[in-house]
Amino acid sequence: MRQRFHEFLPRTSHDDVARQEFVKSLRGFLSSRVMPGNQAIFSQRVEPAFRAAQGRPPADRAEVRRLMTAEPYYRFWSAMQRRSQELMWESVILPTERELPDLVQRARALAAKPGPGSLRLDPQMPLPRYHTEQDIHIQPGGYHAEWTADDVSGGALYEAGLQMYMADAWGPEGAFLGELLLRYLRQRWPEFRPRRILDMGCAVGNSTLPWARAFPDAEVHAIDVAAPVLRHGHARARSLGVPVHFSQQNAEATDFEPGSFDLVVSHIMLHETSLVALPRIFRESQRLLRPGGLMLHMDIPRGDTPFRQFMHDWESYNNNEGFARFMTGLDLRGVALEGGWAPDSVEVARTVAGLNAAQKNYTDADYAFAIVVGQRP
Amino acid sequence: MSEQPPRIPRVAKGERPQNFSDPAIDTLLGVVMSLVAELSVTRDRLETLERLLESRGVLAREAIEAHEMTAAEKAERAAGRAQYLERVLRAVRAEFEDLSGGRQARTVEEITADLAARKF
Ligand SMILES: C[S@@+](CC[C@H](N)C(=O)[O-])C[C@H]1O[C@@H](n2cnc3c(N)ncnc32)[C@H](O)[C@@H]1O
Repeated sequence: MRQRFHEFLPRTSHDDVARQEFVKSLRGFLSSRVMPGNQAIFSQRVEPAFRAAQGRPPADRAEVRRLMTAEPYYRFWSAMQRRSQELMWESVILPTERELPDLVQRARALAAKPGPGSLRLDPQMPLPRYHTEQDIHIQPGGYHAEWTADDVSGGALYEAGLQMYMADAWGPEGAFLGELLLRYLRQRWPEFRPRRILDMGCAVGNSTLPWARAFPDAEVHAIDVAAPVLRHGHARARSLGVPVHFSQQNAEATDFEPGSFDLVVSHIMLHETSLVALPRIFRESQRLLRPGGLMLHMDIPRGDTPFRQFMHDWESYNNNEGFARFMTGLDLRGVALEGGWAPDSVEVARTVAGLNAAQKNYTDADYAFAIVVGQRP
Repeated sequence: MSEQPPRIPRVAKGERPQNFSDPAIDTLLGVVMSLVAELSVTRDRLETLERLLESRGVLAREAIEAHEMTAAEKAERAAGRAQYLERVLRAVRAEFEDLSGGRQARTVEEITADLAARKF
């Protein structure tokens, strides 16, 4: 069987690997060879025709959407992109389902050890509706569904899917986003030495671990609303020997003490929440920080032209990322002010990740992540 | 243990998008893409077989399962798969290729009209 970087990944057969490698190739082909054709068709044909008829360019992403969704080329790309996402999940569901009883056993065994780190679940915690209305990014069952006692499948699927979604950009441990945000912190605050760190929306802790490794003296906490990803994350961190304290909590309101953290971070969690949740999450982050403490919430690019915004919004209409399109053009700083941040203590920064064409999915522009940066007065 | 093994559904909760005028076309494309995927898997498997036959002259199922791809082999396969996709999905890109190659043609009707008018 294939090599795994931690003992807690499902084993894969020859054909499982072939299927997963195919999905990666297919997604790479779509991103680099087909997706850019949408821009070409828009700027060479659709937009000029619209201009000729209306005497102005399309005003916004809604107008672009109306024009492009009528285009056969776009429709075919869109249908194939959707199918590649379905095939992606299928390719990881097959080995995960086969190994699930064994994975659950292994997670139990790891959880029974005295350390490192810990896991605290709360079966009474209500799941937010933004998770239960639709299975986010069409992962069957989302992060939260449980198909067996002590289920870890949501985590196993997320971890394996992650690798395919951005064509291995995340590195073998899926640590890419954590490392990116860590680099931002280090450039801007080279002296900052947090002693208590909280990662919100941690899923399997793939972005949490770089923080724990970078600050080995810090106490690192990681929360998520979904139990299967937390069980998986806890077992995974133990298997890798990294101490992280996982707990099942909603980032909108946690049970941590006020002022008890030096650093609160999140990685691509915001676009999977809601307009109601966002200001609450910013408010909660401020409550948890000690004076001088830092908040860094990082999320995916949403495009800087109506056409690119329309392309990023594809996920809302075709990939069950219902809330993502509300993030497009959203004044995140304004939302942070709504969440109680003082105007001079919060801003939105950008950090560009060097990704190749196969890894960008919906854009051929620079891949610039937004970071909501706050420093508690 | 008479318990049923746990099953994970294959289909996500949520409205499925309709890209084409007839939803049957979306379904059909789904089937076609699965075939493309399965053929790719078969090609990989055959390739493994061939390599093993070549190197050992023996065929053993376990050998295929145990076969670990080297990084170079993996890259070679990915390149082969990229060409395979280029071939089977050529039709999807055709319009983009017209635009990028400056090879946009006039319609058959336009050309016929010119021919009928003896323009060339
Ligand atoms: C796209 S995943 C990102 C996971 C991980 N941070 C990474 O970088 O890959 C978003 C995660 O945020 C979690 N999440 C969404 N809303 C949340 C909330 N209100 N409180 C805690 N976690 C939440 C989801 O369950 C999911 O695991």
